[in-house]
Amino acid sequence: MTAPTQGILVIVLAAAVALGFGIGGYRVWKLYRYMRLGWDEDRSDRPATRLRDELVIYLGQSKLFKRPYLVRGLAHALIFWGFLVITLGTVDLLLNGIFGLHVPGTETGLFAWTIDLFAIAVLASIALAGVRRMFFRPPTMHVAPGGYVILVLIGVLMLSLLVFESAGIAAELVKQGFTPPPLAGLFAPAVRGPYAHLVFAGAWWVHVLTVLAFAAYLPHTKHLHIVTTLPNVLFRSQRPRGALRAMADLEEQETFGAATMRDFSWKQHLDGYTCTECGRCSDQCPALATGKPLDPQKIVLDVRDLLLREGDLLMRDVHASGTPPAHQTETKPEELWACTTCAACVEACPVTIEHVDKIVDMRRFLAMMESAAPPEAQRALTNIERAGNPWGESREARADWADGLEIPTLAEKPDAEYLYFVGCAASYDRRNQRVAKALAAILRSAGLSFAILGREETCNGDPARRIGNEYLWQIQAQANIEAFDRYSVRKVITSCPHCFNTIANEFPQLGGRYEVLHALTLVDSLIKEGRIRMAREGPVDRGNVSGHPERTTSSVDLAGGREVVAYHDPCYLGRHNKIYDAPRAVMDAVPGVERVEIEPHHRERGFCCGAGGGRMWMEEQVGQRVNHRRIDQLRAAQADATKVASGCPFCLIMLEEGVGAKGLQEQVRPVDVLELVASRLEGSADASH
Amino acid sequence: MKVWVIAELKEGELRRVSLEAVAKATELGDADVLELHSDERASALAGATALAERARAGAPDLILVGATPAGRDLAARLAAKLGWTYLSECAQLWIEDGQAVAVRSMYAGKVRATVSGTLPAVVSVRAGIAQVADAAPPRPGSVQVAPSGEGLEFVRFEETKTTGTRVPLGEARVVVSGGRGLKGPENWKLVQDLADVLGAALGASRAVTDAGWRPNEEQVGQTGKTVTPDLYIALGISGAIQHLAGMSTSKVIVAVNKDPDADLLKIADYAVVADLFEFVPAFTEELRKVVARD
Amino acid sequence: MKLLVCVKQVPDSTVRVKVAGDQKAIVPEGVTWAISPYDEYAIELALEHKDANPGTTVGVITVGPPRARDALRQALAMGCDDATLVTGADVETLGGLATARALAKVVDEATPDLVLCGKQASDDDQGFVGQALAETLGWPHVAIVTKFVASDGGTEIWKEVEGGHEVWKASGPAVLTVQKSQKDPRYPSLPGIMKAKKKEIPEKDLASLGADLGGPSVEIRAMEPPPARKAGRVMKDGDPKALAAELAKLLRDEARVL
Repeated sequence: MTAPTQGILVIVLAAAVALGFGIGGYRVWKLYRYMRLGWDEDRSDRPATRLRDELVIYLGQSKLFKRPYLVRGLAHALIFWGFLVITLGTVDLLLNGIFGLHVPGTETGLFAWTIDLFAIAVLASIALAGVRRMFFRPPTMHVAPGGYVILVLIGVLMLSLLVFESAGIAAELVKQGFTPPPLAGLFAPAVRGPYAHLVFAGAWWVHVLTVLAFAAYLPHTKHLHIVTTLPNVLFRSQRPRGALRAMADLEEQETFGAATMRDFSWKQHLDGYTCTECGRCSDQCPALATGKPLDPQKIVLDVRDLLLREGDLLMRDVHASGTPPAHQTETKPEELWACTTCAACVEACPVTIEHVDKIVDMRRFLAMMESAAPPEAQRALTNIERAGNPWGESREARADWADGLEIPTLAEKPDAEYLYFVGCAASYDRRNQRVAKALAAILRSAGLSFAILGREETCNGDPARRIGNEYLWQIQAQANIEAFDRYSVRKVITSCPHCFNTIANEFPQLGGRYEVLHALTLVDSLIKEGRIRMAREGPVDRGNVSGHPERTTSSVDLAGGREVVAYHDPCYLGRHNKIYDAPRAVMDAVPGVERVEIEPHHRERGFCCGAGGGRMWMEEQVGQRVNHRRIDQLRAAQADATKVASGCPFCLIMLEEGVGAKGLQEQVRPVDVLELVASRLEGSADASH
Repeated sequence: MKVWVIAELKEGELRRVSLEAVAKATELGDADVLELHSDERASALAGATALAERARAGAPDLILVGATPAGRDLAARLAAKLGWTYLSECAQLWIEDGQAVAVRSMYAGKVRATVSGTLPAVVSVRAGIAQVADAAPPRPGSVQVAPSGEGLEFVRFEETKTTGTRVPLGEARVVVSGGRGLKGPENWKLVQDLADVLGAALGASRAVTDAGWRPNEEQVGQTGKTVTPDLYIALGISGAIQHLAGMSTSKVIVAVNKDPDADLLKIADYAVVADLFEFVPAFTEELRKVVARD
Repeated sequence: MKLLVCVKQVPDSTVRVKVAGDQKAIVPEGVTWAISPYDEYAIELALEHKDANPGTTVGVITVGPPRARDALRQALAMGCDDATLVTGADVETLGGLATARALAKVVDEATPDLVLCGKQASDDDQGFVGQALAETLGWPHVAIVTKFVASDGGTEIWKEVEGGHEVWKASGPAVLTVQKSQKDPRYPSLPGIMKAKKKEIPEKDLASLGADLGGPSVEIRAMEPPPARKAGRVMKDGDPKALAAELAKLLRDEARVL
């Protein structure tokens, strides 16, 4: 197809291209320079994985297809793929128009058909999108006029494309030799005649000018994501999701955390450009859902907006610091402290924005520079510093839970194969001490060689790191690494996902590398290896597995020999570390347990219990308690469940509190999956001693 | 042995701890009771100045003061002024070989120590130092205190409006706390009556302050206040670690709960498994009798 | 205003103290040391004044063994401007009056407008040194202080009493012993901690101060380890009135808390 750019029109086209790309390009250049105000984070590790992610997430649009957005995801994917193909065509048009060249392959029937089909798909999708925004708008969606502008532009692009394709066929400007594609071929007859050339030229120019208008307009809107998603996915964090970014050389630094826009990395700024304002992160956020001031999308956009506002100032004056992002609005600190770091936002984001890292960087500023963490959180941190646990209980009492159980310490048994890192909750909280005892009984019955650190164990600093006090975390982590290395520890088991996460994913940042297993992963393999035998039938031994008689008022529902137990995914086991199946497999292996799910909020869409991100140590002042919402979800999804099982001591504490507060103690009891196993261990009366 | 007692008055009557101090003084030797009088409020410094003058003249061997906050303040300044041995907050006291020997607690109440110092000494004594004698105490002699001067003068008194808690929670010796087991704010009279008999501060679990049954200032726990009373009475509180963190170092813990599995019962020194609506009123009555008797 | 805070380093409140074999002292090994809690409130009060009145300087001093430097660093990290350690032989067995006299020498040299300290130290629980210091200096003192404000011709000082506060006015220098308040003492910022690490802490030798270190002191004859928390007595299955009577009796006679 020859372009209608004869004579002076070539100059016109060239000028239009220069203008369109010039305006757009200038904006892109500016945004690039603003982005480079951020520090130079190295995101070049693991190139092969990066490439794979690019193909799957960017090209494959994989993160669009999450429940409950399947149809919308498909619509977007079609628009995107269509856009890719059509862009190829656009490049061809421009090249052709100015230089008379063609991109190889664009003259084929295959190409013509592909374009045609995608044009139909795109038109259908944007029609859908337009109708939804105008007549069925969901309450959380905010549509700026720009949203409609884009839809109209895309519509015009597609229509003009179809028209000049049709006209092209009609005017026989198309190379013969292939069947005309469906839509274009459909309209071609309508355009026959002397006007075909004119129509062709007209539609061609409309199309090209619209493209150039697009090019100029795009970088001034969120639709820049079309372009920035490509690098944003390529340079996404390849750290394990639960691992926060390390801060090296704390001693040398003058400021800590995000004190200015320069303290975010270039990648964090790129996140801001890439936010499509789709609101999927907001949809999944447990804080927002329960009325807290936190909206993950707003966090991302506020940082972006601050950069756009202050970019010029910061570029002009290398000494200027601008507004601390944590103080950009008066409520910003509240918003930041409301986060449980559950990462539902990160999981949901189709363009791989890293909300949690931003929030923690701002928390680091508040906690370390301004000493402005919430007072109750500070107290927990002071307790960790002085007593090695957030509750301020005596160090000497750390191993008291094991009194009488004859569990060796590493000092007594240095050649033990596994270190069971008990954690603060199981060491000091009475409810969770029962879980530690249950695990000990299970490990014993499986004949595993293990020991504990006893009084040499101290908090691994996870709450400190999530609250933003990196310094305290480093001190605590180092203390544990030193203790581990003193005994040449290689393998570590924990019953707490927070301990698991920091020891497995974050200790390596300080040189501590161990083989770390969450108890449920280990128990799953032990069961599969046949090393754990559970009683098939009969009443559950409610006696002394954990040293306590269980509540006599709530009995195991053995009607038909089953109890219905719902599984609650702990965020730091599930979403952060992708351990969804092992706990479920363990539950399924326990005789008499029928596992049910808290749908749709399970697995990757699990709803937080509210304790993460250091929030266990903070008060909820506004809205509904996150853990109460979780109990509501449980009751709505599985009113018949007599127990709710999880694999985390904090989930257990929160679920217990929620059940208690709602007076549901008789209807549903929170337990740990390990307790389900331990209560059925064969010969369990002996197993605990 | 000449023992002086500096008496403290409340609403015109000698405070109970002063009466006990008098009893102790009588046990140890010849007791003389002194009362400070001044036209306006006098500072501890002014009191100490006046008393020191008297003491240098009268040369007692021992001066006892009840270990109330005011008493301890006065006693400390007086001891420093006189250059005498100072023993503070003694639970027991006797004389041995010309020394004052006492039992007192140290390390924020975690250790019981027997200590001694040479006479003459100023000693502040805790409630319970001795049984109050049945006989009426000797008439207190008066010591006139010049209130102002010495670089310090009284300006005014500011009253604190407290809601509910009559005794401040922070340093209370006895705390009575209520939890969800009380079923509703309308039942708090039970808690208040018991607290009144004991002169205790009111505490509450987070569940009830969240529910709005009690003001936030009463919350005892990890995110509320930490208390270290001699006696902590928990009514209808289950005892999750968040609450324990606020009161586990109390000297004596009494827990009343209908649920025999409640965690607080497991760490209590006296765990009462009973319906608190029946138990607490009866307990309040019994305590009324005990307190009146003493 | 120039403020001076006197602090003492004591075992941290979470430490379960162990009594040594000779029963005369606690076992120092394994003890986490911290600034005595009431002293922390004194530092906080001084720093709040500094926040509100720029130009205020806050110095901190302690009389103690070399490890007490850590307490001073903590105070510097919280925001104090300078710190001095008074140390020497036998400093750990120094009596209250002697400590006060040693402090008085340093105060004389420093000439602050006010001296603050906690109302009592969490090791001996005495509540004496503040008053003794005031006496040695010949200054007035106010105890159980929760607030102070500089005013015309002096300082207004709030003293906590039953039912409220007495407001006193000191026309010149005074010693304030500080009570716990609703607001926790500030947690030091990381820049504060880093700066404090590098700050020099001058040392003064106890003996060379020229203070009279004699005078009466309290001798510890014996220390009893804290009673192990015995298993509680469970009372149930009875008529509530009977249980109530029994408990009242136990609290009075056995626990002796009534």
